[in-house]
Amino acid sequence: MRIKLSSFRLAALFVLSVTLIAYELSVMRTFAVGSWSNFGAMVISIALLGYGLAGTLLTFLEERIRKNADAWLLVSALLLTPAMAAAHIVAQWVPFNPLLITMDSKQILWIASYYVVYSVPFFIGAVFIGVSFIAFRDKIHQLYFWNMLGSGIGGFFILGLMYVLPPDRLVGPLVILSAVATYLCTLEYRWELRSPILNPWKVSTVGLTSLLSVVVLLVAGEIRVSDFKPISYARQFPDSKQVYHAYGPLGEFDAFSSSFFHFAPGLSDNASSNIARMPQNAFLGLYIDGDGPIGIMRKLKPGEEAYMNYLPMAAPYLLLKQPKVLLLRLGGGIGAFSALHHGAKQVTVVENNPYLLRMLKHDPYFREFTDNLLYDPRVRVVQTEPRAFTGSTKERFDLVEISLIDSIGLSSAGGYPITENFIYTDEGIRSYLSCLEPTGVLAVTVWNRLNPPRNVPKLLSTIVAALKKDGVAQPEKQIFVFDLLLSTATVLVKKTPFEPKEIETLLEFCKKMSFTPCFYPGKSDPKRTFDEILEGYDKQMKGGTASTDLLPEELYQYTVSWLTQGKERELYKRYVFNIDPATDDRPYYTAYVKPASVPLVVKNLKDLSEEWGYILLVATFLVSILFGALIIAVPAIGRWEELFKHRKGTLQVLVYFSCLGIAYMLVEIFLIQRLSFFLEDPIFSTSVVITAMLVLSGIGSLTSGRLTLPRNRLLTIAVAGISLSILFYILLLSPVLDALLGAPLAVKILLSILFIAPSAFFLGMPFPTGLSYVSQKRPNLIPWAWGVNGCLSVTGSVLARLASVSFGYRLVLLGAILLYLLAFWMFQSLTKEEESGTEATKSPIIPKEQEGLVQ
Amino acid sequence: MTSCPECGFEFVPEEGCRICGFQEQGQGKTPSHQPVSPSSLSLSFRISFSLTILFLAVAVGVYLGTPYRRVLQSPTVVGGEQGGSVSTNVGQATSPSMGMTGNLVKVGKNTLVPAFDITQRKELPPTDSYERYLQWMLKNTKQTEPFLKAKWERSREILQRQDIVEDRVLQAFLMAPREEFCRPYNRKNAYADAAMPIGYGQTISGPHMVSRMTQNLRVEPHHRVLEIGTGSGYQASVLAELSNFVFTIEIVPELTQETDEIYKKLEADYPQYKNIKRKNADGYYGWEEYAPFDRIIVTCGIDHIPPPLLQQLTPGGIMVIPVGPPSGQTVMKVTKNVAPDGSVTLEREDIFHGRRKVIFVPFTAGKGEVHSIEKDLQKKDSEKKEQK
Repeated sequence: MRIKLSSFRLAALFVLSVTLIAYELSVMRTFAVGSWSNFGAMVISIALLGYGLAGTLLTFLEERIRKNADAWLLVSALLLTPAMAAAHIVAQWVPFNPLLITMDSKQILWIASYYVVYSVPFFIGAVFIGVSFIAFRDKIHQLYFWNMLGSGIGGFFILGLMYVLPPDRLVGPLVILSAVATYLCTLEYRWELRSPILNPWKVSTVGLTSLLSVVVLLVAGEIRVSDFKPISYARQFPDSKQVYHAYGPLGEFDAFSSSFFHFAPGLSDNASSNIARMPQNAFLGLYIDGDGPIGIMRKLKPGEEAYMNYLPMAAPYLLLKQPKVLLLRLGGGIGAFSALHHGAKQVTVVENNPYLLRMLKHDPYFREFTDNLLYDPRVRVVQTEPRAFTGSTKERFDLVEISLIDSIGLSSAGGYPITENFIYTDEGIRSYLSCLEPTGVLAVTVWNRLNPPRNVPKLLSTIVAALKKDGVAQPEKQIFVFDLLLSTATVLVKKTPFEPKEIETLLEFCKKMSFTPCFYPGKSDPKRTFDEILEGYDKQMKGGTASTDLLPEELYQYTVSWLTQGKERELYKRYVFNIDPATDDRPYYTAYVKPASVPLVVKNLKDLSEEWGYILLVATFLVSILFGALIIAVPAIGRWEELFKHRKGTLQVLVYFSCLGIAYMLVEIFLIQRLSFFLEDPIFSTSVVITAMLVLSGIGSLTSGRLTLPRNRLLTIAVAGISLSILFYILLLSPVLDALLGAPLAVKILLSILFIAPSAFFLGMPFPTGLSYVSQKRPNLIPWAWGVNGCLSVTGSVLARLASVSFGYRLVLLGAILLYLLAFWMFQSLTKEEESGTEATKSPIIPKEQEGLVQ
Repeated sequence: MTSCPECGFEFVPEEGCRICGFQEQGQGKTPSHQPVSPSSLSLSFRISFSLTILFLAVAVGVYLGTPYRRVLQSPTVVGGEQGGSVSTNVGQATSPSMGMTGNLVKVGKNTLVPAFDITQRKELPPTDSYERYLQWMLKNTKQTEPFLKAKWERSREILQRQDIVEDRVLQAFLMAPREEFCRPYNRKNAYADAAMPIGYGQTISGPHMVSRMTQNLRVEPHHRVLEIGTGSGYQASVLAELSNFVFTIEIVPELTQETDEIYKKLEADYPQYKNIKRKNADGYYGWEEYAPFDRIIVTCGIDHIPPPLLQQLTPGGIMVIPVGPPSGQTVMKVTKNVAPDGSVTLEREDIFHGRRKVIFVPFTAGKGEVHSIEKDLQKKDSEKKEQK
């Protein structure tokens, strides 16, 4: 029977859409706080799995649903509240430990159990939305718009909640919100019909259960922080005391004081025979989302400061007198203290983390602890993204310093996260160099513990590429590299060639500190040839056992000299890991696995456990393909005759919706990744992109519904619009973003929406256009097409990450264009025989709800 | 399917409407469609839902009003002042030095006497065949067959991966009852190739890691061995098979106590554990009282080699330590060499990948600094005398 689409029902749909997206993002926060922040991609795929399953189910139940849609809506809304609460609580008891993933096969099962637990609420929510679209197919525009708007607002809603509620409490309001949606549904339910399945008493019992779950959540909803989070360890220190706690969308900040914190990254071994005592109680431990610690340093007393002379960051000060220093990222303040200790005239600190700054600037405890470091007349703090500052400032500095802020250092357990890092890119390095006085120095210190070496050669290749692009003829004359085996490596880059005297000073420093000078102008070649070294590492990877005498410094030396000799292609090709320069097009400083060597890395994963982030990405991709295949295959096998026999065009429909599913995600994930740097933090780019894409695609689809154009022509316009806007991203987005980096965040958000708008608008068209065709010609294919599209958007979201890490954004975007062209071609071949091309479009039947669900 | 002319729900021709019971004329029954009066039902419904809304409002209030517990709860502090000694089981004699004969070690003016001299043991487990090993162990220890079998199998893998290359280290591995140091929930997987949680955010390291670190230490019976990070106590128990003088420091007081109880329980069957001297303190500063040490093994990660530990390492001493950023460390073997002229070199070596690097430490602060610990001890002794 037909039920009326009242404003209550629309409101219920809207509230539920808000809830689902907000819940998805809150699950991500829960993972970040409780166990492991790398689960971002996993949560999306869990949600989309729920959606895909719902689509498959509806394929089989469509007729039944139409007859009793009201009851379906009420039941699914009723179940959502307890399901959300239960999933949150049960998930806290999954004993997953990422630290053990390479050792303990049971851990894979625990990951799978997250899928089972969390997909339930998404499945139920998707049933509600799917049923709405089946029941109110004539009011599709209205539904679609409110659904999109709700989903879009959900992203901002949760962002707002993150400012006021701690991560443990985020789920509570969402559960209440879904209870509100349930209440709205009951208002319209036709009780007087006395359905045998649903009566008011049953409903109110379930309703009370839902509310009970709110209370249970209150009592037991605490996020169980894994024992293996670094923060758990700090709590065990006998004298540890929590001295700070704050939360917000950028994470949860906890600082502890304890005499057990000791930091001295890269400390020379010689300190032991030259310093009577290391400073005691010198650090507080700062944990962000339980990861860390970052050592917040106190002002050292005059006698204690000697140890800073034994840190690698002392090197550049030997070349500069009373320098003007630009420090990129504050860290725990050790860089700033070190600069002041070494006589810096002025220190400009660029730090974009408002919580860190607020803590150090306004918390009395920290002001006292750091002896008002940030109020020192020599220290100036600029709150912005480092590259936003270097890209827009007119000031010139004697020293630009980047010390140990790479994610190799501070990251989640197990492996380094494969995330965008725009600090260590070709364009970034050039931007820092442009802020230097003519005799200035850029100093970069990173960890140096990987074997075979990866991050240091990648940094070197990035620096050499940047110098070359700046037109430097002999980059090798401007680079000095030293390291301490299994500790840190420091690269000094001068704007002009190093003077012999300066080289002497640095060599003397290295000798005094027992650091190894790896490369400097005029260093003679090592005994071993580069071929031998490359072959050595190759053998190490293939044979599984390490060669005893392969020292990283030789590789570093050859890397610089080969790069400056123009043999980079050969080097990149022959080295076992990917060490080609990181660029803004491919800003992955931590992505070293070559796609072709995945099997080799998997074989050696015990020795290369830090690479499992990439391997996990590959595994997630394969799993999503498997899920997709299943969800596509189940209806296909069940209804083979009906779908394929005597019915040409089923395959085209399948390919068409697959292409749309993948390609939409390629664009969306690209925008999230690329704008993460422009909008200063991934959380902002994620919410802005999701919201803008959903709302604007919704408008695009509404518009396409209203235009009385033949479907073919509409699709032509859409694909042309999509291709043009993607071409804009490929060719012009980077320079445009660079030029606007210095603008205030609010302006940048508005500009981002402007950049997203054209593509999102056109991206909203092909899906409903295709669906309206299918609903006319092949109505039985609708839920299946919906499911296929949903599943492949899971695959697409993972593929987008994997491909941008492996091949760069340009290829990802070109891939998206090709997929849309393929979809266009499929549609043409589908309609060639059947349609004359004059028929106007009809309303879309099912929304592409799945496509909106990203991160 | 058709829909019911009355209510619009599903209508089955033979049975009538499933929802309202309406039946077609001619089926023998008169229409029985009698909707319940909306008012009566809605009333009960409305009451229940008004209540729920009220409930909801209260829940929201409570939810937002309840203080935030997780983060604000202060960590439980049990005893454990820094440096507080928990257990002392090593007999300490002030008799004149008898030199380094394998069972007596001189520290400052004090001579340590082992509570149980491992060099006096007549027999050690055979390593040539499983049958003989099993029989020996069943006869001489209380270990049981399933664990012995698992341990033997693990030892074959350890030999194959060359984590252990010396027979006496292998014997130490074959002796130590790893299962006793695992927590009950992990006991049955004691010999799996994995690190396992033991609470307090800590793990018992995997058997391969323990084996390799132990092998790289090259411990002799007369060596003073300092372990930083007692954890489960398993590593120290392996060391106690190889040296008469094992010192171990744990940072977490509760864990120190738990492990202490495990040792006390096992001491009757494994008297060598009486040689393990334990305390709850920050291992960063070593254990000056008993320094210098011939061997130091650090089982927790840190971003640099703690200078106090390097200072407490004897010339020729070896330290095995995982160094690196919080996210992961590389286990490194550091050998401290002092030439006759007093110049110091340190050799850094990656114990898994074999990379090795000798680092020369110029002695800018003079010879005395290297051996300053002994001077410190002498100073302390004389201070004590003065106080008396």
